[in-house]
Amino acid sequence: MKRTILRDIKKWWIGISFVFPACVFFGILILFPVLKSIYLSFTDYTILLEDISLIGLSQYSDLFRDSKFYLALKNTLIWSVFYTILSVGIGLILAIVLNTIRWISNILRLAFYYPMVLSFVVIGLLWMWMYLPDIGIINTILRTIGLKRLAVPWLGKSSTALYGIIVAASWQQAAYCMVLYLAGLAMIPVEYLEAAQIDGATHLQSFLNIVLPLLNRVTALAVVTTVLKSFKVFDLVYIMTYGGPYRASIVLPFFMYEEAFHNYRMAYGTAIAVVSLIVVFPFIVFYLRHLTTREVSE
Amino acid sequence: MKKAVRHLMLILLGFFLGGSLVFAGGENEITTEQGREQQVVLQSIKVLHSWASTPNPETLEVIFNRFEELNPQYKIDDNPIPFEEYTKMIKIIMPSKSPPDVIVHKPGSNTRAQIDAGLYLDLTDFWEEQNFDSVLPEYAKGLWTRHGKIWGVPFKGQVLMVWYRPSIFKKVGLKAPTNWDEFKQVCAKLKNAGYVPLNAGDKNPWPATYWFEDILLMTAGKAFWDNLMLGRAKWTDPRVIKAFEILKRDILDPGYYMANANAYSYQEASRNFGEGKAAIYNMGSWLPPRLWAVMPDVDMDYFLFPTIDSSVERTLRMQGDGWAIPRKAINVQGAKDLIAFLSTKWAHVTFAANVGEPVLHKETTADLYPHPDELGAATLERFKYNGVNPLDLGLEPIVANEVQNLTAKFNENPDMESLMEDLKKIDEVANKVFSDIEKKVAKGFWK
Repeated sequence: MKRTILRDIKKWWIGISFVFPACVFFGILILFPVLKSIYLSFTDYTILLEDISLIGLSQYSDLFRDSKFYLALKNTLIWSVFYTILSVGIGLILAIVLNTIRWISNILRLAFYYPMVLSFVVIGLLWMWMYLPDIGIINTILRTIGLKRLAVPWLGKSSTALYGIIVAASWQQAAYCMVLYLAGLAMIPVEYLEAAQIDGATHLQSFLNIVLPLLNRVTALAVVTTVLKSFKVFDLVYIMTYGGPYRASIVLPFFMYEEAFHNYRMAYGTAIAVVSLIVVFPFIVFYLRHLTTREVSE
Repeated sequence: MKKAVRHLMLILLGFFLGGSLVFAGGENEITTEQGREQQVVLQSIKVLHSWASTPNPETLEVIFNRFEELNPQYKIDDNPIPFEEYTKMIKIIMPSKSPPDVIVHKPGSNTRAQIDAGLYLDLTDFWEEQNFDSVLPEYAKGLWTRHGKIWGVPFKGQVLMVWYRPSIFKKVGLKAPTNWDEFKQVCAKLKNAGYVPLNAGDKNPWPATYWFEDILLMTAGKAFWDNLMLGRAKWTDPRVIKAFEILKRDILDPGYYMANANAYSYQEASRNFGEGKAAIYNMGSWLPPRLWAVMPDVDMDYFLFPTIDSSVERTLRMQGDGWAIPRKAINVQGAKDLIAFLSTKWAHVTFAANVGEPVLHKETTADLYPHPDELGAATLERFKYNGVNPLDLGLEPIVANEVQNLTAKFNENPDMESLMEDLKKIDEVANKVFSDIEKKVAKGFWK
């Protein structure tokens, strides 16, 4: 038994020695801050005072009684749903179109991929100007084509502000989903589609019964990564609406920032972070279990 | 054996790489602390400020260089940071173990919290020694006073005025109003002539309260305002409700306020003012230099907020940004010597003449500023009247946020019933916030 253990240790210590620095990094830069944040969420830490006291679940109790939290959570969930549907849907459509139109697809791929290389700050500024009620291009086009009624202040109305930002965010994420789907489409054997054609299947039937099922894994990847990204959104909200008008577009990350850094309530901010982590945790587990382990085994 | 040695070396390599990266920061910290101690011998003064985004930001460097010439034993380590980043960074740097020697800040709710936490050095004796009362205005000293002590030395201070386009007024045949009835007539005529009477950009909600603030000050007075800002008065007080009623009746319902103000930041809204679509803009004196920098031919002048109740003494909303010394500053004497120099007339005049922002030295004159009859004259108004911080600086951030969002909503949809509900919620929030502050003050960290 002892000889077996020693043999195992000898076998593994090379791997451990290579992994050790990464473990140190992970521990210091990720694990320690997460654990410290969880600890701070049970204290009265305000960043100004070194004196910290444990106050139990007080921060969480305040949080669950704060209407702003529920508003931010609701907005984040709305963001998640619409952001995912738009990004994945548009990404799929673009990929199919580009996969079909071969002769100009390279140029179009570049054009559609372009938003991926822009930072959220640039995207936010661009769309903010496009949404301007009087001189923004969106309302100018709407007025020109006779749809003056639709030329609303997109970021100035509480009913449209959040969706306006979601559209801007989806513009970028759709490019990422498009790339995923293009890779997925390239892996579909042509013979399957040819066989379906020979059997008399229409394009739509081939798409629904062959292409889509074979793209399941890509769809799962696109959906999960988009959902995970939706819980991190901050820059766009900060740039485009600052959470307004009157908090209509506030989301969890922005709410956390406002409480921690604007209102000096750092411990409260960490409580928001912990709750956000709990909300997003199932998606992380799904991603790790179903979308990575299979890759390893394949 | 060779294999074992090879394996051992690999493990040591792993430890070395990981360990050096772990402890690298620590070594730098030690080096920095040692270096700073050495620098104290060389009399380094570390200054952190947010005035990098003013026009002609190199002006401060000129002033610092002059200080170094006159005080060769000192070397200034200047660290300018853009304003928005500075407001976040200062909250982290002040409680840190090695803050700078001199900082700038806008006095009010932010400095109150930091003062209560014991992060500022008491400058009361320093103020008396330097006789700053003879050169700096009373209101600005008041902004930096807390618990009966003085915690900073004011340097520059924007004043909030009602700016207007004289060319538009002339075209419509108007004069600057002096009382509320005249003001309503001016707005009506501007609207009939096809202009937006009152410009606004409420996206970052701090400007949303500006009209409400002035109406409240001109009807309820400074004493009530101070009590409201410090949690000693209620937001459901009839005087607050009356101010909202005036705002609704005389500005919002007639449609004088900019439509879709929530879609514009104040900078974006400035375009409407500069291009002549809107005629009047209630904004700080930072507006004219910035607008003139991009639209040099724009005509702009100001009028004092029209009198609503002649029995109420006029109070202006004014800022008093100034210099302060963190309690943990290393070079306190150097910091004081620098602040004393920065409070001289020369330093104020140099800053005003080159940056164009209003400084607080009593002996500065209107002709220092790029447009002396407009901006210069506006800055001198501060020496004639009482002054208070605007709401976004004077009120605790949590409560101010609520009031700003409430007012932004009210500006778009002035519903008094909904307002009353919101004001009650604000009272609840304010009660909790100020009660927490009292507990923190009672701990006595500021002593």
